Amino acid sequence: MIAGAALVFVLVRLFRLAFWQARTAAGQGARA
Amino acid sequence: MRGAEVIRRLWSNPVSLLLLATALFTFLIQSGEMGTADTARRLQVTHSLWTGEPQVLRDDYPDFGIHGRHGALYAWYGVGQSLLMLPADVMGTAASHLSIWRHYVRSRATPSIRDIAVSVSTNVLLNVLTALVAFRFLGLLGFSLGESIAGTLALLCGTTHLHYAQNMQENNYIFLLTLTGLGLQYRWLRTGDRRSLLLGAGALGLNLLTRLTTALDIIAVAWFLVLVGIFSRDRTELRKRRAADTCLTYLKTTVPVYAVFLFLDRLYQFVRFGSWTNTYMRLQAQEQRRWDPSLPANFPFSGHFFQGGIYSGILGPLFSPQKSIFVFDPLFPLALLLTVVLWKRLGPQLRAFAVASLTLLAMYMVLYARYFTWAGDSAWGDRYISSAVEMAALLAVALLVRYRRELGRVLWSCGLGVVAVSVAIQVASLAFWLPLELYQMENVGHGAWTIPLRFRNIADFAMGRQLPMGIDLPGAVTDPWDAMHIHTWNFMPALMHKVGVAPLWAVHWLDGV
Repeated sequence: MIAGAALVFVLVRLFRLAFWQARTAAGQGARA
Repeated sequence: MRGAEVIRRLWSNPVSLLLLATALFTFLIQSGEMGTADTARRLQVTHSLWTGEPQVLRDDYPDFGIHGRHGALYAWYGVGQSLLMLPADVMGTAASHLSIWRHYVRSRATPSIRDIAVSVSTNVLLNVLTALVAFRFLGLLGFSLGESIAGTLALLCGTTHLHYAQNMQENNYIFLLTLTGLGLQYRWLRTGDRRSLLLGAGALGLNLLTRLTTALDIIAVAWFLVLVGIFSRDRTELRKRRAADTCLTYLKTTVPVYAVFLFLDRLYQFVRFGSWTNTYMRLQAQEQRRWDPSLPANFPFSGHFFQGGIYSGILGPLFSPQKSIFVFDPLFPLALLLTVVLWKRLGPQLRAFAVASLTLLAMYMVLYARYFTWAGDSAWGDRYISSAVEMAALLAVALLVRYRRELGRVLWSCGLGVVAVSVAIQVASLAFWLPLELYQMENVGHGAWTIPLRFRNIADFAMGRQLPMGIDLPGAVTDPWDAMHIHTWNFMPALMHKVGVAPLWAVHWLDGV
């Protein structure tokens, strides 16, 4: 349970950093 | 303060999060056991390396073991995986002497404390290292951070790699070393860094200690580097001369390293069997013919390339309902499709990797085609070629994410569907101990599609119904250890609960974690 919850938490953070933030940064770069 | 800063940085770094996620899910899927008799026997070899115990336990013979020098019984197999497990075996043996689980150890229940320590620590370590190496390699091939992370997670959770992270055959160790060698040697090709070439040769050489057949991986890596040159289309005179120099440097650096590891493998062979030139396969065949004189003279390579149709050595791995690589690894056909569709857009390194990984797969298929059990039963899928299949499937998701727009909505959606199905299949492979379906097919005397049968088993077991194909009938499984294992979820808390020796608080604690 604890390890499972930690895994979900880490995966959400990982996807935010790897995809969402990367896409946002790319969008800002394109606008600049 | 410094510690907090380190944690904050790690928490903001996608690579460290990828490794942490890998460590967590690998820990969660463990059964605490070796998963197969092969690995349990290799662990016994590990134990013999630092204790006075023999390589082969008396009870194991004649099923296992070959008489070697001075009439002693020796294990077949290379020493590679046994060496890998050595630190964990020492640690696990020490841990099993702690008084906290004295009662559990004395009961000789499974999973044993030593097996838990060895399987959990080794599988987590291998998977974390594989995640790191795959991520770096995809980056070297030109994929972005997100594409590399998606590709790495797909490799670990969407191919048979996941199954072998729970059931520790040699596959994942071989895969890790091959990918490491491939990445490092490719880095040398790009940067000229001789240290990378040397280390890459070391990784590929180390593989020889596990299975001599990994010489094919060495050939495939060299072929990949040649293909990068061929697909680069730069054929000026200067380039050709430089290519000759590069080849010479490559051979001068790698061949001595491979020779050292080959010598170590031969030395181990000599210590056991008094010969520098034979292989354990031949000795194993001699030993087995002694017990069963009806075996053919060319045993164990007594199978057929095509005779037997979809159950033959070449067609079986592709199309048989029990072992088809297209069914066990759906990311493989996806990678094939994307490579063909996107071929004109792919850079030379991606084309080279696609061709080299398919070459590796073809070489393994031909090599094992005539082996009497070409799929390496008992195993989930075709374990002899599954590492090569995983290699060939590595690009699937990274390509899918990168060329999402170019592929169009239909292909993108189909691709996502294949990824979802593939992950579901790999997760299902963890649910039960792997011989369950083999037992079921043996029981009714005919074949079935393994994967649909696995899903049916999961559904029936979860709902408390009888498992199909008469496996629950009295006498269907005579070995009580096997019977217990195929009627239990193959995860550590479930196994410990079923055996009923571990105190309930320990089971609940494990469940809680």
